[in-house]
Amino acid sequence: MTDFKFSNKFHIFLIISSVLIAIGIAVGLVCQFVFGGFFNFGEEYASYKTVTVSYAYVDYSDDDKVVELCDKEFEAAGVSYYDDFYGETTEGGTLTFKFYKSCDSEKLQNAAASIDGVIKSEGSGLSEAEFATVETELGSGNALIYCAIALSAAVAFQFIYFAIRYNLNGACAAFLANVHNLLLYLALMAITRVPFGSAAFAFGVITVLATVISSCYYFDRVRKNSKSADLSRLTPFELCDLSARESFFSTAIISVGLAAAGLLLFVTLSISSLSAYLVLSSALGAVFAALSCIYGTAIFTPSVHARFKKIADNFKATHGRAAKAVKA
Amino acid sequence: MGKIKSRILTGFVAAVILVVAFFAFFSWNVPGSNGVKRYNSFISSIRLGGDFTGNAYTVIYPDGVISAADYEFGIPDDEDKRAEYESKYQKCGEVYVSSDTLATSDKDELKAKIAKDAEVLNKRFSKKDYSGYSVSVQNDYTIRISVPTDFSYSAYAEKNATARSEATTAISQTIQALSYSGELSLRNTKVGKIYDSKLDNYILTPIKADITSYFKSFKKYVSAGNYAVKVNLTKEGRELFNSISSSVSANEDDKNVRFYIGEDQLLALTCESTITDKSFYISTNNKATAQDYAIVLNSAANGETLSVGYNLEDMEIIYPTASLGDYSAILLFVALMLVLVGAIVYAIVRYKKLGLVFAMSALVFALALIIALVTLGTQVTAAVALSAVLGFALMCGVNFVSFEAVRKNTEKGHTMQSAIKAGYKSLLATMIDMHLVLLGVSIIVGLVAVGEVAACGLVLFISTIASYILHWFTRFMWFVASSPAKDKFKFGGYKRRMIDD
Repeated sequence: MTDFKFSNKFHIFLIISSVLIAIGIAVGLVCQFVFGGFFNFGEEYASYKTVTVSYAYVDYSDDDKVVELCDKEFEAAGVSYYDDFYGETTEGGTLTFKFYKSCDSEKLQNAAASIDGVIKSEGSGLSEAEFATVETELGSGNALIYCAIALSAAVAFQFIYFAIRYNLNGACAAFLANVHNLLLYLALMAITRVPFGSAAFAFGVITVLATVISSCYYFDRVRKNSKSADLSRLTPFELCDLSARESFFSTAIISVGLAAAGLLLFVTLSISSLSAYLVLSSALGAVFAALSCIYGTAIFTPSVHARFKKIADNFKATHGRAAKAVKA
Repeated sequence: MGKIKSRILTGFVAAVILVVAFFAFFSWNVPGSNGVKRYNSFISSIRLGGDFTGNAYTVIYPDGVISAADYEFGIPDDEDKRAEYESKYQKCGEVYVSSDTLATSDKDELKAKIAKDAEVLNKRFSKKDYSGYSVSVQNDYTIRISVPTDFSYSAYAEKNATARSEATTAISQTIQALSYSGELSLRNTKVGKIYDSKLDNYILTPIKADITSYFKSFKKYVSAGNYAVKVNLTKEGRELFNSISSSVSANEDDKNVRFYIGEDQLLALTCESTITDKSFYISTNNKATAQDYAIVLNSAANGETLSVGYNLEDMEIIYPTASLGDYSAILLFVALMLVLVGAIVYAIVRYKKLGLVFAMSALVFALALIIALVTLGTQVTAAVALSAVLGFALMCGVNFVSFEAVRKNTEKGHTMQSAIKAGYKSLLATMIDMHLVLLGVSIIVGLVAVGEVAACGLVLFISTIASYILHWFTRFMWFVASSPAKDKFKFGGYKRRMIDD
């Protein structure tokens, strides 16, 4: 790493990135048309089936007995729920059990009817159980669309800022870094079919934020090294490689640090919900976010930026000579 | 700075931070109130999203549709009446639909209408800026609506009955208001063009009039404790209101232009004189009502009405446990405290007394964010909490990187003062760049996105500003707190490398 020449390996990085992103798009498109979703949209967004048990306090003083009864019936019917929640009603309580949409409706209906029969016969007849199918359209999916628009606008803002603050080739490289890293993260999510819920969504945002912060470090190093008398004589490739090596540690710390902060939060929350799904999607989301950002910003971007810089320097040199010739 | 002045200033700042932190983190029963009155800390008054306090949900049934349980409950004991009762309904999946309803629309038509209504409701609820909600078709013939409870922790844990009651009332009113079905009409009890015998009032607009062409928009208006719906008229609408208001204002018994959606009156505009302006205001009781009525009137004015009437009187709203578990709010607090305490402990171990200075900044950051969230009423979800953590990580990163830059200069043999000056100067450009870019990103995300993501943008915005200000606050407090110290290098856990002559 102390002597690694990122710029020389551009063609390798380009192949790796292109292949991964292409596979991700291909897998996503196949799953979109065959399984109905580009990503494996998690529980928050998918349609589902429910068995809802409304019980009266005169029949059952708390929900433990009801849950036990329902678990027995579900086991007998050969179905299992992925989530359940309890709520209070005016006469008692209500338990809702959520099942994946792929669960057999007939089995669920029979289980619901069986539970209904048991609780009515055991109690005063005020308790009941019913089956339902809930069709969601990505739930509050508008938020995803607006978020995509907002992130795109934010990336565009970074481009404009870098163009003013540094130069156009730096702005182009930063823009490419954002797009590349986010595409890579999404491709990894699509390929691995990790449940795409709020945790995965949050880590996508972390990828963009970590890229924005890390690219600030990298371009600042490039700018400082360009101003140094000794280093300004280096070729664009050597300058970019040196700056990448100097900022690699910062990029890694930022990416891993932000991903770890997110992981700590979601893993702690998963303790309360006892949700292996949340732990899995959080852990993998964190790993993909950190990897995408480190690879994209510290390795891929310098090799691209070196080429942009070379083109820009050559253009300046040619233009400068032509202007001098005209003056003369 | 003198030693005494330095100690007084440091003590004062620390005391203020501790006092505010006490009120921010601790709740207690008011002494002498026998447990009736309770002071709820700032943190327990923060509004929490559905992740932590659950999503309230209800199922609304179209007129003529009943659940299987209600059907069975209504079966008469008398065998003769039973047959008549059973003939009134047809079983459609998990619900029963009245034969009268199916006479006007067959099953497929009814399903299609309900599916379309779900889309209209989805659009209406999307205007509410909820952190997350869902409107979905259940069992083909009913609509399930789920919205965040918007409880604070104290309301969720039932330690603040007033707040809980306000939140549940607001949810009930919102669901009812946004589920009003029917066309928009303007009415008066005494004057008008067409008499409606069912509602015993007159429709003010001509029978063939397209009422949607009269209104540009309806907007919520909030200013200095006043709440209203602002009605913006088109050119046609202006002429219409000119003519309507002159006849209504001339009437002695009823001077109101009443805005109806279907059979439900939403608002009443009192006309003391002719209206000639292109917009006017109709006052409401509170902000939520103004927003709800503006949304539903806008929807109706754009031709997006519910095609089926819904039974909203028997609607029961269920408040279930949080999707992340009963203790998720507490565990969120624990996780955030772990991050805060972890950063402080790391700073103290690495930077000794300078770590305590950093601890003050970290606490100020946390308190500023808590107060901002309570004041702005922002709903905290897992994603918003993550944004807060990222903002805190930014603040920590900026400070720690500055401390390390100072360390590099001390190892070069600089004095403490020149090392601090050079260290901060070397990072100034990067730090400003980073904060400016993040500020821009957070403003764009906050303004363009909706719901939860907009809240993330807001939190990131506050965090970025706090991070920048606290960067300089840390430097200032470093100067103040280290003034009495004899060995300024030891204060920050630094070692000065002596340069050989």
